[in-house]
Amino acid sequence: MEIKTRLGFFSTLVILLVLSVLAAFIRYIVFSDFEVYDSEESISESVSDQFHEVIEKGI
Amino acid sequence: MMQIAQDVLGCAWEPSYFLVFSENVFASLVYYSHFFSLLAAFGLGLFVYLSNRSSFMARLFFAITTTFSLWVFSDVVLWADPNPSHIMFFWTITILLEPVLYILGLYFLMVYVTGMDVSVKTKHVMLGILVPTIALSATKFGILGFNYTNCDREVVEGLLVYYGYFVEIIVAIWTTIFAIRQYKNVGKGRKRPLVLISLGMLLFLFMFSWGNIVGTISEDWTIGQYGLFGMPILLGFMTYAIVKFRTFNIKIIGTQAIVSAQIVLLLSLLFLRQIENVRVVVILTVITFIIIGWSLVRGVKREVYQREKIQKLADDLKKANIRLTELDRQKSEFVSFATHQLRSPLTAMKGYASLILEGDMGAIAPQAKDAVSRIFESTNTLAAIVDDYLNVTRIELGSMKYAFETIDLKTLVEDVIGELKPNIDKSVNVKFTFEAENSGTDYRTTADRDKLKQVIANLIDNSLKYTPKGSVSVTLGLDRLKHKFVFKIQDTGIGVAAETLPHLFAKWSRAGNANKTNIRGTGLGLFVAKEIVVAHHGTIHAESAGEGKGSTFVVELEPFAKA
Repeated sequence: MEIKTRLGFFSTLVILLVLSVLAAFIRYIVFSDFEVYDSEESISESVSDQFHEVIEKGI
Repeated sequence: MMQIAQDVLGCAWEPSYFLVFSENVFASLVYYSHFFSLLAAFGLGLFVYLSNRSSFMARLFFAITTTFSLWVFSDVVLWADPNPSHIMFFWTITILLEPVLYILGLYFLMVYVTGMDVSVKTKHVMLGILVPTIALSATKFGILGFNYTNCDREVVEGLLVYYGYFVEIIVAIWTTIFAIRQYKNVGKGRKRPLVLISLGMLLFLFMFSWGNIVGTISEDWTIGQYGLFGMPILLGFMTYAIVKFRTFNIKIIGTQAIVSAQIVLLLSLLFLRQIENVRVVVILTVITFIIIGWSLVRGVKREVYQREKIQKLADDLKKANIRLTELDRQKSEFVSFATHQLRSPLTAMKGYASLILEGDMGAIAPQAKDAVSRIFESTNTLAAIVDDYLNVTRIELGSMKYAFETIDLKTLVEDVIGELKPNIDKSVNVKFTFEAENSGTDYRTTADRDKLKQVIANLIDNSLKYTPKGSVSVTLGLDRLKHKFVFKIQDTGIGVAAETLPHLFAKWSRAGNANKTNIRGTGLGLFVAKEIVVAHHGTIHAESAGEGKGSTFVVELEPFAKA
């Protein structure tokens, strides 16, 4: 009996998506682990920081 | 479980029911655009999948519609739910699913057009494009945080959102290039579905991004809601493509989807608290709509099944017609072969009978001479019948050969009359005349001498046969208005009934009263004559005032074209 050792395109995609959704669920729903912004200034600052971080270090 | 309570943030957001129903949703358009798209997509996808579980196309279609439905559900939660944790989570889902949707749409297009799964290399590229989104959506690059400035209930999107736009552009370009390349290669019948799906895909990408872009720029998310209608357009085009494979019927599904969507939309009104007073009206409307909808679906089903039945009958008829045409061809070949075999013994019979009659075989008794004379006449008749059959089969098989040359029509007619002199003399009760009008006319024309001779002989012979007494007059002239030679043979014979005239030149057609005068006719002579005249770019027709009132046959031919 042949044993399938390779995952297909759809299986891989579904597994990755489920893992990603699970990660988001744990982070946002279970631990409420996110920043809260109440002013446009702080938002601009954070976006700018992330942009510079990506430019300087790469993701 | 840690959750940020909305009252901590100090905003007066309304609670939600089942995540999606709340008064935070500012316009009913949001519900219409979302629920209509969600139901249409999921309903269609599920039905296609259940109808064709083994079909790869159907599974792929279901994957697309499910992804889209999840996206729509997440999006409506963002409109309705006040919980920041929920908003963070479902916003992430939308970011995650958007590029997946684009890639699956492209995948569907490729599979549909090529009729096979995409290559491993293409799959790797597609997965590669999706990996950054999948890996980073739950990180700060997906969403930086929750934004409740001015109590807006939004998130601050990270850089990944720009990657989503980038994927959208890549897929749009890929789709365009693929469609243009394939358009040249696919067969004529598949060009239309290819164009429709490609356009549907591009339109969907455009409308989807248009909704996001307009919303972001103008802060007016109402206009953006129309973007969601792009998905039903894509689904419509995809459905058309699948219907081409005859996997399910669009009309039934469409009606069911619309009816279901309307019912759910009406039911959803019950969850809105403001309509307390009109709840009874809504319930009555739902009941009425269910009844009307059910009857509508039934009506469409019946019509579709009848159409399919007619289509099947038409297909069967087409197959039967092909088979009959083939049988007809085989029959013509057989008749051609059989008549060829008959010709040789007939020639021998005619030849020897002629030799005996002319006395080359020695003197014979008068009684024997009479018998041989009858044999000779009968073989002549049989030879003429065989020739008719041979000509018909040649016409049917398209193998009738013509040797066109320049001939003098007047001379040809005179020759035919000379050859038929024994028959003319035999018709003692018939006065036969021939007149060529405008004696100075140039009667040259381009024709196959033998074939045209056959036509003229056939017409004169017919007139003589079917005129027991009276007159047969043959005229030849030039119609200067039409610039055509007119060969006319007019008799005072048995005539033709008005209902027979239109069918006189059809195969096996004989006038109803013909058998009384001549029992040997096959009903092929005039058919062959017409085919020959038509091959000479001429016309032939018959006129008669009715049975017993004589008939006129007219042949028109083009004069010789001088260079």
